[in-house]
Amino acid sequence: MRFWHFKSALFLLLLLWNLGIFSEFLISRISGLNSLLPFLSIGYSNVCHQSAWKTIGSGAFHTLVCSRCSGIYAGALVLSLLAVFMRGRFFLTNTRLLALMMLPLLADVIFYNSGLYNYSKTAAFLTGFLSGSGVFLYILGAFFTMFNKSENKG
Amino acid sequence: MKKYLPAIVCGFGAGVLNTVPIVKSFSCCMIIPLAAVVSLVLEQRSRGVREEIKTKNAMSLGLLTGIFAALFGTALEVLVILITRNSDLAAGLPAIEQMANQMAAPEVVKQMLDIMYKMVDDIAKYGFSFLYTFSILISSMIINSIFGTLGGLLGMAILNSRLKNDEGNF
Repeated sequence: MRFWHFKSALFLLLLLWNLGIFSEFLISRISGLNSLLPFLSIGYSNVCHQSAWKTIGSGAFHTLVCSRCSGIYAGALVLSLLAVFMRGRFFLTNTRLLALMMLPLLADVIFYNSGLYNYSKTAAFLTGFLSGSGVFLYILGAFFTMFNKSENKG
Repeated sequence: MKKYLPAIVCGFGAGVLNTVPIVKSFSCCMIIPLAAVVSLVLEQRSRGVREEIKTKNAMSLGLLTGIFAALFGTALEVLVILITRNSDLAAGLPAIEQMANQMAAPEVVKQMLDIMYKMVDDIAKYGFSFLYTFSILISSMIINSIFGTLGGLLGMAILNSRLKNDEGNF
């Protein structure tokens, strides 16, 4: 049960984090939130360059991080939700598989920066989604090992 | 002091890279976790051992790396603001004020906006705002600590997995 509780807590934290990314879209529904926007933006600036033309959105509202980062955190969120409902070993321990899942993101960054193609928010989001999913499952595997060891000791 | 050196060195590097716009656009959120991984590698090399990394050590070294990255990053950010007399806050405030006016925001929101404009004015006049510095320090401490700890866990999993593979080969 302990590991399940931990997985649920992780999902809730990721949900809050992802909701923060979409704060600008939530402003119209929750009054007073726009006063927090600059501070939320400062917070997310620690993890993203926040270039306006790379963020998801149109008109007045945009995500507080770029498409790639949005994809990474969305991938982690979706997999964390799946992990809550999945029994058994739903995590990753194979480093090569992790590297493989991060390869499209790396390729997209290199190819876009070398001028092979123009920046695509869709490509950035999808490659980020795959990487975020992989990293989440890998870290979940590390947490599972930690829980297993502490339960064996206790 | 020697056991904190890898965290200090990698934290400094991550803090510097976080301030450089081009590097940040390349690596996004991966700077701090990567710094934590490198910190673990340096720690093992400095002790001249190659053994299984314990979760507690990985998380504490990752956390320290994140904290040092936050401290160094904030110091550099303050230095850059002192020189340029400009900040990211100044760019975003007019849009927020426009949104607040369109939505007939409550008085407290307008007071918050006044505080933010005061921060921007202080930066333009003196090159420094205590409240803005405090905001970026607190936010980077919290976020870098979390990402550093996660990076430590990630590094632990990767390095322990490599150690098992190497032992298996022998």
